[in-house]
Amino acid sequence: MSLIKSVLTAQKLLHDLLIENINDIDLYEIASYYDIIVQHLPLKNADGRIVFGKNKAIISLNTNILYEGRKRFTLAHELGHYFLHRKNITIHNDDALTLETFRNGSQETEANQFASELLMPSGLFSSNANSKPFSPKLLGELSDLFHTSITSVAFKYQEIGNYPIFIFYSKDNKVEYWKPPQDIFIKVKDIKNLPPPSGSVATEYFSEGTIYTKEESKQYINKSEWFELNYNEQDSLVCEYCIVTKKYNNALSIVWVE
Amino acid sequence: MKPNNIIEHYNKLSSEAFQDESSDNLDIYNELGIDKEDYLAFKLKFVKRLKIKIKAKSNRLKNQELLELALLKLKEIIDCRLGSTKEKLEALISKNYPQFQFRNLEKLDDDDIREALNEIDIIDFIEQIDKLDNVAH
Repeated sequence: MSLIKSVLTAQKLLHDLLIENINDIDLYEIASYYDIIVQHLPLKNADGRIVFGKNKAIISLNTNILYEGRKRFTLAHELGHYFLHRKNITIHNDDALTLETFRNGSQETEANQFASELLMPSGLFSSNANSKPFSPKLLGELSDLFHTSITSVAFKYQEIGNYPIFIFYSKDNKVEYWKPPQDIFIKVKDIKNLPPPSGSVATEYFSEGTIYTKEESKQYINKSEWFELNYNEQDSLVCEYCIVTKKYNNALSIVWVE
Repeated sequence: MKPNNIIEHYNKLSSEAFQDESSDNLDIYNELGIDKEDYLAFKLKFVKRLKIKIKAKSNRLKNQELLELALLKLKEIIDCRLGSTKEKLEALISKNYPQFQFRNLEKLDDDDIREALNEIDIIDFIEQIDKLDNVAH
């Protein structure tokens, strides 16, 4: 199944339910309309889970999820499994890793793509995102507007925002994957499964526990930290904004050229 | 009145409202400076949204009741169970869902599996109770 199908499925759902405004995106109402039961209970190894019956489904959400945005994204992700994968799976269990996977090809990515479009419909997102210059503050404002996490806003912005940003995901002091923006070619250093670059903000977190305040969230670092420089290219400054989730010991670095 | 009847009754009233002859009086719209087509499209959308909300709410209330009932029945059954929970889960699933695939199940411990088992049983119960309820009415 392609990622486009995930996006179109979410758009069709919004269209079928005549949802045109951000405030009408009530995930509990959507679930109930399709006879899906949502319950909250402490889950030990998952943020969310969906179990399919013959006609109904039960979504369980972990009561220990601290952030409302993350809770909403988890519910939207499970709804994604319902609308995309209910024909071939009976139980689906989702943890921090699956919810933050935006790599191509897996059902988790498809469910994340669906969730992203359901919570932040592209039309509404671009009209709100592209009227202002890119900054960490803008991501914060979009996160408040769409009631979702800054992480999911960052991925959405990378897809349809009008400023190119690179995203690097590190966990337990190892770079797990990165996503370059479309149409911009700057070669990223081959750092998969290695610690983040020594001069990066991500390393400041993993080695010293540094988390910058909102006001200081944009930090200047050398371009050569994350990227290969071209032959004869002088090093220059780029910006890094690091979104840290202490509970899961991960860091999402957003890197852009100002 | 049962939730389905409420929705049917509401639909009937909604269509009657749209069939009101006075709505065809263009003068009123012109006098108020309102585009009739736009106004009716807005009204129709509003009614449709309301119907969606009513259906969602009635499903939610019904499922809440079914869930409580199913949990009670399930508790009785769990109290009588013996043997490995995982084996029970696999046996139950392979019986009910021949095309079953486990996803991320290796990450679950025994408690999690029990939770999952409960939910499969719960949903099975809920669907059975719902079916009986529909037949009875």
